[in-house]
Amino acid sequence: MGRHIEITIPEYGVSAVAELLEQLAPHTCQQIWEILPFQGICCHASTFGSAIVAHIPASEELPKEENQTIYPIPGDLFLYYYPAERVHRIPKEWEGKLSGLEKGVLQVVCFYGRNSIPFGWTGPIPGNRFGCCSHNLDNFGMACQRVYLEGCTMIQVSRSAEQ
Amino acid sequence: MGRQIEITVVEYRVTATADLLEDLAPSTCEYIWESLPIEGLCFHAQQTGPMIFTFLPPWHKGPIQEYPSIYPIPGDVCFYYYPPNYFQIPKLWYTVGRVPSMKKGIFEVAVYYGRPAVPLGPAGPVPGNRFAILTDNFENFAAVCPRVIAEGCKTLRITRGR
Repeated sequence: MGRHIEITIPEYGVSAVAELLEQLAPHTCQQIWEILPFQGICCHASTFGSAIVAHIPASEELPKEENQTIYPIPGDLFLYYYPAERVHRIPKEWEGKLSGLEKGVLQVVCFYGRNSIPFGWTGPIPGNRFGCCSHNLDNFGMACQRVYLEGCTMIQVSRSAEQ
Repeated sequence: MGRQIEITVVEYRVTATADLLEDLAPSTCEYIWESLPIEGLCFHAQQTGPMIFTFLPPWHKGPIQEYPSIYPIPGDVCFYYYPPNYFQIPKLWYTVGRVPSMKKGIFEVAVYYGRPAVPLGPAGPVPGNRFAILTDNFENFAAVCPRVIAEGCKTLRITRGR
């Protein structure tokens, strides 16, 4: 079996486990694996539908297009990368909650509900689909709804021992 | 001058005034006017973009389409109706305040505060009756709206103005 990661929202004591799609997005998976564990701010989407977005400062070169799609289903994990010159395209809604992203930012987006399309200023934005939640998505989705109702909170992503 | 309504995000103590578009959407304006004052949970859009919304009491003589649009611009105030079971409201929403039952259909008022906004529902773009436009204090109002997604849902109050 392949590698797994664990996504935790400590405030709500909820974790989900996701399988990395190493065959479909090998470079993305490898780069995600290497930056783990990380902790950052997650916000609920305002243009991506039923999704939460975790932000990680990043300044190194990151994967180009790999296994891209604009049609997520519940449980999908997408990676977006905004280099320094494109950081301004991140939705303004989260300003004040995010900091230290001037040199570029990684977004790990976790879709937890149906009928979600990642919309940006110029239409749907393809993301690298690199993982798929395999355990506890229902409870995790409830926690994501709480992020919507109660506001941004901390999120942790770590390597999972699960095989 | 025609009638106006006042829209307030209660926790942020910010109020903007909107002119009712009575020539363009007379029935919608009448329904809204008769429903006021209202105070309810203020949610931020998840898919549509820079928009906040709250629920309205049922429109017994309606709903009818009147001056509908799927292309809102900043400052637009639109009415939406979703028939029974058009979508599911997460159970968790009912724990934070008064949220209507999906069994009777949903009546909603949405305030657009920025661009780009596309009112997308589960089955594609959703037309709303554009019945008012924000005028006085719109910029200050728009400045606090993003906090509704970053800090969680709040309270929206709509009252009769002049």
